[in-house]
Amino acid sequence: MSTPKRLRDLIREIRSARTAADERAVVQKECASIRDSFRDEDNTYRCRNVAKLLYIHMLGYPAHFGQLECLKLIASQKFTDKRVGYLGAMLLLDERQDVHLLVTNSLKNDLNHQTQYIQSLALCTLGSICSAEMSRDLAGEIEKMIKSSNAYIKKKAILCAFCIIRKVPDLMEMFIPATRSLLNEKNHGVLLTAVCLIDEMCEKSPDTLHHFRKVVPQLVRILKNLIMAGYSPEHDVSGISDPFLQVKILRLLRVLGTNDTDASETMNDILAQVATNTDTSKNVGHAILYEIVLTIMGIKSESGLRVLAVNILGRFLLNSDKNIRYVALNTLLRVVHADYNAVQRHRTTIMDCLKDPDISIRKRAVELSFALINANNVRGMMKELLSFLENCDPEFKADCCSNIVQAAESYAPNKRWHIDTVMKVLTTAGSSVREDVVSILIQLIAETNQLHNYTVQQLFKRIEDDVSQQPLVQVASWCIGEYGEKLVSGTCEEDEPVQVSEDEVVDVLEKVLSMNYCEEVTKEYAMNALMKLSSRFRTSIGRIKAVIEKYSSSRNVEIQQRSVEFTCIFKKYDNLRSALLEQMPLIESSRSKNVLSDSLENSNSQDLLNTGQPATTENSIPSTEGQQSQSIMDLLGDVHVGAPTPMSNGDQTSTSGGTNDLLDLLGDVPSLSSPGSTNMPPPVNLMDGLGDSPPAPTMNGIGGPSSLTALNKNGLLINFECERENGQANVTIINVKAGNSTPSVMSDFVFQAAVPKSFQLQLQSPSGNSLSPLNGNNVTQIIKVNNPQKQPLRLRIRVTYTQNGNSVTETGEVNSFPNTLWQ
Amino acid sequence: MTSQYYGHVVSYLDAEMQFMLLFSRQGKLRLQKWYIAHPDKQKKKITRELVTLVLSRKPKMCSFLEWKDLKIVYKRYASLYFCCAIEAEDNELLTLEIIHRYVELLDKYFGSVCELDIIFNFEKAYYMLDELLLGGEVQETSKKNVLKAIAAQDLLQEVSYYLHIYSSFVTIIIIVIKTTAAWAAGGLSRNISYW
Repeated sequence: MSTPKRLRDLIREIRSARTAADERAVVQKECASIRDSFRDEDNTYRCRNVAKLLYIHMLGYPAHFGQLECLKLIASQKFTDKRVGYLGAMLLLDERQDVHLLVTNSLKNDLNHQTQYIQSLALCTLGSICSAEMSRDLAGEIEKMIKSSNAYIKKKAILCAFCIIRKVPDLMEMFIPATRSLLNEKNHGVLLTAVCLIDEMCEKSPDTLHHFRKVVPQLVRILKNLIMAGYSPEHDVSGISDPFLQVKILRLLRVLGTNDTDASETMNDILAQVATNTDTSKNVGHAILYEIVLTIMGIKSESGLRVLAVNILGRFLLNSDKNIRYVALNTLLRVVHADYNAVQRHRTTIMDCLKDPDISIRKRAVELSFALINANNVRGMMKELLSFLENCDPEFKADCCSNIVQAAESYAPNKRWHIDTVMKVLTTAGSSVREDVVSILIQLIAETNQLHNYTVQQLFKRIEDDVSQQPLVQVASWCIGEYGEKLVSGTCEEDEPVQVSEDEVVDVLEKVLSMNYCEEVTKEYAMNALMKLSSRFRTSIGRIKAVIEKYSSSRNVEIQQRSVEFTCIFKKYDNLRSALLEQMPLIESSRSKNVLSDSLENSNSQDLLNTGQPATTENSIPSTEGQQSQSIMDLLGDVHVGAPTPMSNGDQTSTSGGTNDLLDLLGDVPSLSSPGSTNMPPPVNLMDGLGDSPPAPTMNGIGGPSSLTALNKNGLLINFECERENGQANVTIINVKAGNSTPSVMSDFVFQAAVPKSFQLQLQSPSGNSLSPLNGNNVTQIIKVNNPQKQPLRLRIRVTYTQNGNSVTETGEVNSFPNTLWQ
Repeated sequence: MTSQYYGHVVSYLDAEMQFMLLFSRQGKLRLQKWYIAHPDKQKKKITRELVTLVLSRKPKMCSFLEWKDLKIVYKRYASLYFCCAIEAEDNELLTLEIIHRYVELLDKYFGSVCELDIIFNFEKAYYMLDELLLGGEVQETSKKNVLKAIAAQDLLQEVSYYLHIYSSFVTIIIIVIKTTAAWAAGGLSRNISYW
């Protein structure tokens, strides 16, 4: 067999491969020959082959077939073999391998080897693999080695103990006695690793933490010696004596001093000393100061010391090294709530970091700035933050806007400033504003009566030339709709009023409706605004009508529906129009989230809908646009509280406090059940529910009322008597008659019904809500079903009542209607 | 069976360092040291993710980034990125010092180290790291001690190569003599390619 390729040659060959495919070919060929060589049990070149395999592994190729070969190398007597074998074991084995038992045996042998470097290899490998089983098997060996007098072995054994405890905390007990004396050592390696070990033990067990509290004075002494001792070239890093050890000790002091006044007391002096004596010309000095700050903040330190710590961070912020600035901001962010005033003192420096070239630093600075805003500094801070918002990276904008809005809400000195600020956010951040900002601002404006003139004029001025900022246009449209008359009145509370003509206002809204880049929601806002303006403007009603009508064939269903409905109001119910379009009543705050759920709760028709079509509510929720438009419709609808409505007397929803809205009247089922759905019946049909169209000739002569039993359960009998309504070809009238044959009374009787989407349902008020025992009385209720498509009639019903204190719910479906009712 | 218990859920335990990666500006991995167990697939995924993340950072950005619940500390030396993952509680400024210490050691050992030294002698770069860190923690703060330990082991390797001596007793004597002699001569031949 020929001599295998040398590692160096393989690396050269791989590096000279031009394409990934070439490289793969070289690697595959080499792997094949390595496998052959392994199969031949070749001892001479095993080491070389494993080394090559490790290189191949680093390139990302599978190399696990080398695992057992590593174990063979480890078992070899040659140091070279062992060294490569252990390296391979560390790289190729992880703690999930079955070969662990074999490795554990080799490790056990080598831990007891006379050559310290072979012991060292074994220790290093144990620290690297350290599975739970291995930890248990070798803990005894390690405990012995911790007591070794050889510092080189001792420090490694200590860290192995650290790894073992990390993996199996139960084994901690056996190491504690040996650990105690370690802090008396002089060797820095041993001291450093011992501090690590104690730290780990303390973090794992509160008892041990308590036990080691007594080493605080000893740690203080070591630290003191470190900073007092003169220059020692061996451990010096740019003028600092062993920063690695200093940091570790400071960290352990933090663990020991947390929530312990005595321990904290003992370390106060040394902390102050290190904090003031550390040279900060280099990164390493800052590393120590940073650790000091964390310790001071972590323990129960004196207030003077805490101020010192915050000031150290303040100085960090002025440093030219970006890493140090970043660390400072990050730490300030963590301590800002505990030491608010101390941090507040560095506000200017923090605000300067908003202009830092490093994006991570800017990000921290923004977060910290928001944490520092209070009623006293809100004007100044906000000015800075708004100018930051203007120029900041797009990824910040959404968060930044929400935070500004939130801060403005908490600390606004007055309403005018508050509205201005939020408007500024909308103007500067444009489309990155989250949706909630729109509703927050609308709420705010609505609440602030005295500024309506000012606000609506400002908003109009802002969208007059530019309608690209969607959220701004939405708010502006809403306000123009609500307060349109104040816009054209030419009066203003504070500023020079703007002179606007009605036509100019309609121009802008028309522009919004016609712009391609305007979102649908924005257009819906504009459509509503136009409608509202029709009752506020005097001269341009005709034009508004024309604009609204133009969209009656819009491809967007929502806009089309609005257009058709509004047009219908103009045509048929013009007498109601001004009452319909009255100014919105003030809505309770945090309304943005609640509108939909409120309307769901209040509206019985929604409930019925759910009975009939259980999936509809779920369907409508994920579509936010649908939700949005729904809430808009509700907003509009809310206007009618108390307005005369043609059929409200018969509508069951009127029981829920007059919240029956426009949509209910317009035939609630389809539009509420599937907002945004495209398979709705043509919107014109919706109007039929109003039942005002001229009587059509009917063929009502077929038979008299037909009767059927809808429900007969537990003594409750519900009968339907159905007939076609005179003069209404499509409308079926169902007389519901409910009786109770049981000996006890049924109270709170409620009958509900639902129909499929293609029907419309009118449920009139029942004659009562209590059924006397033994058919003492009947409750009657009239249902009108409009069936424009003449489909077979189906009805879902739900009945609830209370009997003997138990509430009962019955549901059922009725589909046995005679076909004479719809044909 | 153990894989159920030692997935990466338990693996984020506190160690100073969770792993260290060395990679080139082209994104080629040059060294990987894991102080926390992960399945191989996971390691590859993490490596890929971090290499892309770090290489996309602009020079004026700071050396730290938050990644999952870890802090990534990286520093570029010539064409090579040194990238470490530490716990949220750890001192990232000190981690920069650890990286620097490692670079200094490599530099002393190879004599102004470059990427090629690490490519062709990757195993030596690992040996050096294993004398500086163990289980993710610094074990030795004296550069001299680290270099001394490496030199002695290189010598041991040479001896075992040339003499094929299997009795460690003899080996030790020779090491002692050779070490002393070599240190007196002020340097060790470290470029001997023993394979």
